[in-house]
Amino acid sequence: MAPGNRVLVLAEVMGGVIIPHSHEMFAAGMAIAEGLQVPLVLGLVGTDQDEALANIGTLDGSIETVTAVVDEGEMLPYEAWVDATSELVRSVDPHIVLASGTSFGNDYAPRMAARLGLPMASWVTSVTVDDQGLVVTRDVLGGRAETAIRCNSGTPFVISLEPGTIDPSPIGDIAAISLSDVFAELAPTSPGSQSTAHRKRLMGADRIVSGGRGMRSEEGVALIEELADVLDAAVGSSGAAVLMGLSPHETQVGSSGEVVRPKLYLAVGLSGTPQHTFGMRESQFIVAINKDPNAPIFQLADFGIVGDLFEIVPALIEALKKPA
Amino acid sequence: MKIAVLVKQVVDVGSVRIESATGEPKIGGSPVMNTSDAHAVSEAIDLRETTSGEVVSLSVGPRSAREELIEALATGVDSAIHVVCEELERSDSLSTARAIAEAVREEGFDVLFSGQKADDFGTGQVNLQLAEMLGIRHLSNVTTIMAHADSIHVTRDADGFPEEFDVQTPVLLILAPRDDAPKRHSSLRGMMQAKRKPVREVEPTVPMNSALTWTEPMAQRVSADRVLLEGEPVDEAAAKLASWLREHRLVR
Repeated sequence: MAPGNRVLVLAEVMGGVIIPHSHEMFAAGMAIAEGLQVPLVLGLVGTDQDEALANIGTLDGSIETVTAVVDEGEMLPYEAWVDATSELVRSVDPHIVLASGTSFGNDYAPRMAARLGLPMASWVTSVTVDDQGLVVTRDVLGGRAETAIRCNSGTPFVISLEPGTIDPSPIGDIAAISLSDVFAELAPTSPGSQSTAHRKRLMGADRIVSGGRGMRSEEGVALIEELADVLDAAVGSSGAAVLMGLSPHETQVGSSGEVVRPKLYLAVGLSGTPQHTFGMRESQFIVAINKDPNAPIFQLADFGIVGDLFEIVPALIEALKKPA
Repeated sequence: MKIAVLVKQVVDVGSVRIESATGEPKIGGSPVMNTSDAHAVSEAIDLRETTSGEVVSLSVGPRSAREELIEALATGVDSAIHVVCEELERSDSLSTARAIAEAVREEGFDVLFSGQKADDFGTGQVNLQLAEMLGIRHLSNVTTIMAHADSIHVTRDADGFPEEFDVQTPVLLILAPRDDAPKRHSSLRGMMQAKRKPVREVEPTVPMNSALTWTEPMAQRVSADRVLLEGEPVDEAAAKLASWLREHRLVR
């Protein structure tokens, strides 16, 4: 399949609603189309696109929209999506295809690429165009490093974004909401313990204090919570703290918990396993307190203190309470 | 029931250290079995134990990847197929999936197991693309598996909501990532037995190449003005952190 010249964004529409991640795909698609100086085609894939189109309002006149109605019938939903999107890609004949990086997108997009025989890069965290064309980056080695990827096969190139890594721009007049906005607005419905009921939610929090295995006991947990209160921060935890029964699962940050991007992430008594750092490494500022100077979390930290949290945290609370 | 489990030899990401001067990652330890693949091996053996039949582990990779296949055999897998490919990193997901598809097409597996993605350079694409090439269904984020007489009852996690399916075989089951995933450990007896179990080595029957070029990995966050306090008196360290937080307007 020879590449055409357009950028195709496969926006996900569920029951007439354009899902938030699609606005991130749209932002990336616009950046690529501008960089390559080619037209953007907005594909609306899913159900009730008429309603979605009506909601979009005014769309930049240079953007063509195409729709693919998914007939799920007897099939598993992703199977119908592989059929519908493969057909759409064939008919649009694009240069670049942006597929969805949601858990649903991860179910259909690699199969679509295989059916069409196209190269694909998933978990993309940035897109740039230089004089040799599109270059995308993604994380490797458990988030410790990143790599830049180019497509040189002379075929269309399929990419999917890691959700939450590219600032969304609105499709038409619909407000561009991001996934973290959605989570932040959800009421704290967790049936967790009394002590967590009043706590700030992780998603959408500006500041997060997370505790790990080093908290050891209820006493450690109380210290972390006190520090969080002083900083007006949400409380997070590592998988190890959850497994030890110190922290409720809904506070877990990482690949089996929440993925967060606060301004400040203060990691206390946690080593920074790849599973954990997956969920917090995009934070703007990272601070780590750990007694092991070789803990990998220090490689991510902007400010680190090697020491015992049971000594450092009380001293920090005192220092923060004092007027500057 | 004929069960396959996909196993990948990966870099031990826990052993990766970043050279602070250059941002270059240095790999400290020996290669290991991908974490979620060890979980898949465990689930595959569990399924065999409730149904009967055999479990075959499959790997594409260099000669050294035989170690992970032997490890799987030592924990109870019956036999292994090794698609030998020295330069796996120069192969994209389509070539890798095609090489596996060609090696297993004639085997007639009922159930294939895999993890979600590889810890090191994982794309989460090869397993799904293999299913597409074999023309079989997959279910991702699988949490529980129960065998019935003529189908398999599977629960999956759909973004926090459980979904249940009775699936017909053949099917690929992709396990949901879990920090506390069960893992089988090899016994001395298992290791002795593994030496007598068959490992079939095959050459890839398709060209292993890549339509994509990847640059050498580099740390993206090399904080030039990073502060690391070690051996400072507790009160001084805490005071320095408090003023750093104020300086960066991270406290009110």
